Amino acid sequence: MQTIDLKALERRIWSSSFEDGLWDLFIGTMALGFAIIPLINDVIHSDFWSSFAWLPVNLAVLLFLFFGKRHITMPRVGLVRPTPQRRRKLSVLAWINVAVLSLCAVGGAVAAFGGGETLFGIYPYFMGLLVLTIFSICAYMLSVQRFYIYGLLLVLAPTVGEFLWSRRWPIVSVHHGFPVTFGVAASIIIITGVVLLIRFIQATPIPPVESPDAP
Amino acid sequence: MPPKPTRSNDLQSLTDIDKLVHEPARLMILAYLYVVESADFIFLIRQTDLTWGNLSAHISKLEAAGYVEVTKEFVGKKPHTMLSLTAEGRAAFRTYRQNMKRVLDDLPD
Repeated sequence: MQTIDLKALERRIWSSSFEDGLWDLFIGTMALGFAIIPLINDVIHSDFWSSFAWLPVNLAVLLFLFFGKRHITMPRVGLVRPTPQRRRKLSVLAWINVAVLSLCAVGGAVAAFGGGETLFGIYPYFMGLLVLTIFSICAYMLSVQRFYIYGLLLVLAPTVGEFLWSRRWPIVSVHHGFPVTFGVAASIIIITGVVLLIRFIQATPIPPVESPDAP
Repeated sequence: MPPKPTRSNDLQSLTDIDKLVHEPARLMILAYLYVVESADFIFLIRQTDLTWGNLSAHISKLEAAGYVEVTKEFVGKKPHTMLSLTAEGRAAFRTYRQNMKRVLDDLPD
């Protein structure tokens, strides 16, 4: 007889909440913004407003995440609340993400408005490194291994884009290659999300209504 | 009150094992509830593969023993039954683990 590994049990419970692919869709759409925003900028010629133009899409996916969890995931896998220790861990994770994203934003503002060409050139690598850090921490703390790959994809997108753009490859001749490289990375993440969501819906039907809460 | 951890290292101490916890389905339910704050019926059915009737019967026994608390609440506008371990239930599960570990660790390979 084996002893009950409660830590493994807890990890399995919480990592299973990422099996519906909804977070993947959200992350993929955020990443897709880096591919689309420069193209919108070509049309409206404003860095500021082109960033805002993608906001409704992000908002729509955020709403899909929220309502998807409530109306797709919850009726299939039920509702579970974390222990106070787990909640503390999650809030630490959230604060780390806020800190890293703030660093990203401050770095971006400095690079765009007062950093000069050198700093502006370094910024995509700096941002990529921060994104990799966030995803690695999330992957480790949430036990979701594919987040390591997402982090890697999102650090490779600006790096490969810059590299190919500096060599004047025709396919990445505009916007440092970001529309292509971020487009590919985001597509991989979004397709993974869609596949996971379809598989989740097929494999996890809503159980028959026999619960104590049945009408 | 949950039984106290066993003192001796012979097999006689197996009689101190809490039989309410020892039943496999209930042990599974308690283990899942131990690592979360609370969960609903659907979650436990998914995780344990028990039927509604089976799960309900086990929950009733655990509730009667004071190990599990059943609370009704609203999620949105829908009523929802949430299950959680009481302090006594947590203590009983901890004691059971300690006892079983002690008994099994003392057995020769």
